[in-house]
Amino acid sequence: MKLKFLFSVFLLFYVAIIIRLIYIQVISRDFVGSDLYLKTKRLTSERGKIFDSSLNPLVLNQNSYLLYLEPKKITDKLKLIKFLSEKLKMEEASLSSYIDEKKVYQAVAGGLDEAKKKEIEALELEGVNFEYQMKRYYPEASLSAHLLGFVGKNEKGEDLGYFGLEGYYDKDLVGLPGFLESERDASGKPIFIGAQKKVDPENGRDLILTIDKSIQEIAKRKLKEGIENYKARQGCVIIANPYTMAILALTCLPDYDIDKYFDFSESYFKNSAISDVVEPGSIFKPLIMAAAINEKKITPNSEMNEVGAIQVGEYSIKTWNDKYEGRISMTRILEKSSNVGMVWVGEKLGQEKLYSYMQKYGFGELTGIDLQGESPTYLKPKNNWYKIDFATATFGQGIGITPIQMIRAFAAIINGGNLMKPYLVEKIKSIDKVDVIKPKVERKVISGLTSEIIKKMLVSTVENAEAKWDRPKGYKIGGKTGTAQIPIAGIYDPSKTIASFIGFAPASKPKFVALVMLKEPGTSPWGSETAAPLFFEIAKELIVYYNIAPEQ
Amino acid sequence: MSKLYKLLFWMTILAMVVANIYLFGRSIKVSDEIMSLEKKTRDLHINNVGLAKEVSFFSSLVYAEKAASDLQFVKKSTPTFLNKLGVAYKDQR
Repeated sequence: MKLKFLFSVFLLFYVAIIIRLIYIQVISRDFVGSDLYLKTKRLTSERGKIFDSSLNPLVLNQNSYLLYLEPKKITDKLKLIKFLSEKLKMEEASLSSYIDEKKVYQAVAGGLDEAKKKEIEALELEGVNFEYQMKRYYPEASLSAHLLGFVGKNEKGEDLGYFGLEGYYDKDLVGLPGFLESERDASGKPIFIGAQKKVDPENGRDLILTIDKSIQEIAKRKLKEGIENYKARQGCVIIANPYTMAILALTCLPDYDIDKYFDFSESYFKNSAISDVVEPGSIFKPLIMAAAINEKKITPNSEMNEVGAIQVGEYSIKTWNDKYEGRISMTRILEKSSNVGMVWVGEKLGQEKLYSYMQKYGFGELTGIDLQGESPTYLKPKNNWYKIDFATATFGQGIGITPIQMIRAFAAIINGGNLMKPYLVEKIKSIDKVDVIKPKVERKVISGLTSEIIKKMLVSTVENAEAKWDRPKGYKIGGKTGTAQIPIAGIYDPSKTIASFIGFAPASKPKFVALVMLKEPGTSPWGSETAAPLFFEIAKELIVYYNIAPEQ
Repeated sequence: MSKLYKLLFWMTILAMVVANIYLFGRSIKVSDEIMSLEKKTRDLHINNVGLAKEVSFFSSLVYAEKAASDLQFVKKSTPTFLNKLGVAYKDQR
């Protein structure tokens, strides 16, 4: 009897299980679905890292946590608000507004570090949880803010690179997310005989830059000092290898705190070195001089008679100090930065050739530098050029270029005549391969012989310039000062200038070419009194850094 | 003969029950191991990321500057540029 009773109980129990299974698997199949136990988890890829040329990290990833609430699990709302607002430095009212008891999940604060997470966990608050995330870490802080750009969010809340390298190489850096499909039981443990499918994420590719962080530090430190000393509104320094146009340092100030980019307005994100279109002033003169020598219209020893201001249509063109030396050589024109002399050189070169060389030097086209935000410049059609336009272009006024275009063109005249494509990334590294980016010659602009001639003229320009600078002794350095007036509403304001210096060292085989630009310096408007001393300060440190032997 | 079949039947049932219990226990153990490995992998990743951050900080210029300041290494380098040295010029003939 007892056995029969036990058998009946078991039978009923099994029938109940069978009925329940029929209900789950047949009747409410659509509602329960095949993924009752199947959990799909997105496996996020790690964003690629960025290193300098010596593999020192400039951008890494760090652990970060998103604090979220599960309002239904909160037992003591007041306690939670009090403690969390204290730890997160949030207003109690705004934190309270996050708690909606109807919701299952409510994100509250992202970007929390490990220490903060532990502090909050120690409070043992019910309904508080953390989700692992990663965020960018900058070991060198804001050393290269403009270069690197930053990672923000797109409209879907996904990471997206903005500006600089983060913006330009976003697709390489971001990688591909993977996923995990796994049948799990109610406690989240994998079911042994269930389906398990995993597609590993593909991490983003790492970038290895041409930037040398020591040179970048020198450039930024010196630029900061220069801006303070000369009371400039803004400034940029670009240092490159003239033979390859691999950028060794690029910095503009003011910049922004890359960790707190959201506290800055968009105007701070603009990298003036590639985005500002400016009139170059006298640093442009060597380009026209080189073109005229290349066309054999002049030689360094050709002479012109500098007797006074010259008239071009209704405009009078003078030298910067309104002083004239009579018969002077082409080298002397550069030494004393004679606008009158340059107009003469321009006439010798001819309008057709002058315009054609401007195109050859790459003005009016993008340099193609691998940074997001390069501004295009416009070289108006030749038919629209007046005689005065050709005249002023010879000494770098009346044309708009970006600093990166200027240094690229200048590098071409000292590297043997090759116009190179500037670049910042020399290797792109993924788990199974390394792509090496090689220097790219865009075109030949001048001959090697012309390049040697113009280099000597530029060394003489530094050695015999009107201003005397504290130059590193024993080294031949070539370069040219520039002072460009800034047009405001079509009128040049003499008190507002862009002071600049472009130079290279050592002259025999330049290790670096550097462009220094200071916008609206307050102590003196002249490039010779502001940008040039700053250039030599930088050059001194670079000579020591590179251990360059004296050559004279 | 029928006794033998009966015995075999109950032996098979017993073996299946034992195997079922063993597999059930084993699957729970494997699940636990998977969970534990997943956690370890996650923790290792988090530790690695944390260590990479620390290493990069200690090799950064930011840290070097701070350390120099703490140690009061404040004197700036003053290289001497030799003028008209007369010997040891580069490319001297």
